[in-house]
Amino acid sequence: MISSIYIFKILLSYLGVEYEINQLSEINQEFTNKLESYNQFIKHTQKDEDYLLGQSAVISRYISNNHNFSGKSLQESARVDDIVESVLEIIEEYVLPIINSNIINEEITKLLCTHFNDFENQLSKSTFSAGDSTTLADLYLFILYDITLRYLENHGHLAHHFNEKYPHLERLKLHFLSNKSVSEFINSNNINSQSSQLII
Amino acid sequence: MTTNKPSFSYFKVLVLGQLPRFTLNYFGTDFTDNYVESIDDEFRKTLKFGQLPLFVDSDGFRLTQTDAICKYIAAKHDFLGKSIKERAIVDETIAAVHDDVIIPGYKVGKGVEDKKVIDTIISRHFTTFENVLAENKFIAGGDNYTLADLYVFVAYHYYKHLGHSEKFQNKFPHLEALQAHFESNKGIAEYIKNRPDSGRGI
Repeated sequence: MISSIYIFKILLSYLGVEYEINQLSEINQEFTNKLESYNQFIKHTQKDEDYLLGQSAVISRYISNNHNFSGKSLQESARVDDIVESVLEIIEEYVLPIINSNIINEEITKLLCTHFNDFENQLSKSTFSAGDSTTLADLYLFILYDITLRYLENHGHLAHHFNEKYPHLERLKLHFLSNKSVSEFINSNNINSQSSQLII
Repeated sequence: MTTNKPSFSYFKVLVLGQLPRFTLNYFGTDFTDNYVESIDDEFRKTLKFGQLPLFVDSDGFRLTQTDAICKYIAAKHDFLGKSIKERAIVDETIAAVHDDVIIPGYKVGKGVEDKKVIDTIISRHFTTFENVLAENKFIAGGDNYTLADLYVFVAYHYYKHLGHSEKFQNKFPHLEALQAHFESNKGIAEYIKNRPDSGRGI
C-alpha cells in the first residue's frame, strides 16, 4: 500500500530534510485527544480518501512554506494551490478507482489522459508549472505522472495512451529522479500493478 | 494591457461557489458574479479540466479551484495569517471545512448521503471549532480574523441554511458570535440578501 506518507517522503527527500517517521498500529483515544487539542480535525476511519488527500496537502504545503518551495509571488503561490488541488482531485477521481479496484478502465484512462494533455501543454509553455523555479506543484505533477505510469506499465494494452506523448512531463520526471534521495526512495518502494491499494 | 473587473463564475447552488463569493464580498471586491445555468461546449473548452468554479482577476490571471481562489483573494488582503504556522492552520481548516463539512452537508441535502452524517459532523467538527474559538478567539490562533474564520462561518451559515438550525441551539455561543461578526459585514449582508435562490435549497 502507498500511503499519504509517500508524498511527504518524496518531498522531504527532495528538499534534503532529515526526518523521522512514527508509524502507528492504531489511533487510541489519548492520541486522538492530543491531536484535537492542536486543531487536527482527524477522522476515525482509514477509508476516507477525501480527508487524507486534503490533509496530506496541508502538511506538504507547510513543509514547502518552510523551504521557499511554494512559489515566489502571490500568483505563483495561487498556481501552486490550484495545481495541487487539481492533482489530488485527479488522483481521487481517476487514479484511485483504477488502482484500488485493480481494473483498468479504458474510459477513465482516456479522461486521465485529457488531464495529462493539459499539464503537458502548460509545461510546453514554461519549464515549471508555477513560476520560474521548481515548486510543490511540480512535485505533485511528478508524483501523479510517475505513480500512474508505474502502475500501468504492466498493462501493455494501455501503453499507447502514454508512449512518448508527454515529453515535458517526462522531463519533469527525470528532474526529480535525478535527485539521489528521491530515486533511492522510489526504487526502494516497488510501485506497480501489484500494489493493491493507493491512499495518497 | 486592458484591466477589467475580476469575475467569478459558478452555478446558483451554494455548495462550493459560496466560499469564493463570501470571500470576494467580505472584502467589498467590485467583481462580475456570473451565475451559470449550464456549461456549453464552447465555454467548457475555455475551462481548465472543463470544470467550474472559474475566477479571472482584473489582469487576466485565471484560477479554477475553490480553495486556491479563496486563498489568492485572502492573500491580497493579508488575511491568511501572519506566520507560517498560522497559515498552516488556515490551510488545515480550509481542508477540513471543504472536504469534511461542506461536501457531506451538500450530499445530505441532495439526498445521496445518510442524514446521520450531520450529527457526526456537528459533534466532531463544529464542537472542535467552538472549543478552538473559546480558547483562542480566532480559529488560526493568531490575533486577528483569517480565512479560517471565514470558512468556519460559511460552514455554520450553510448548515443553518440546509435546515439544521435546531441542532445548534444554545450549543455554540462562539460560533454564533462568529456568525454575527461576519454577517454584520456590509458586503456579506448584501450577498446573503441578494443571492439568487437555486431552487434546490443546496
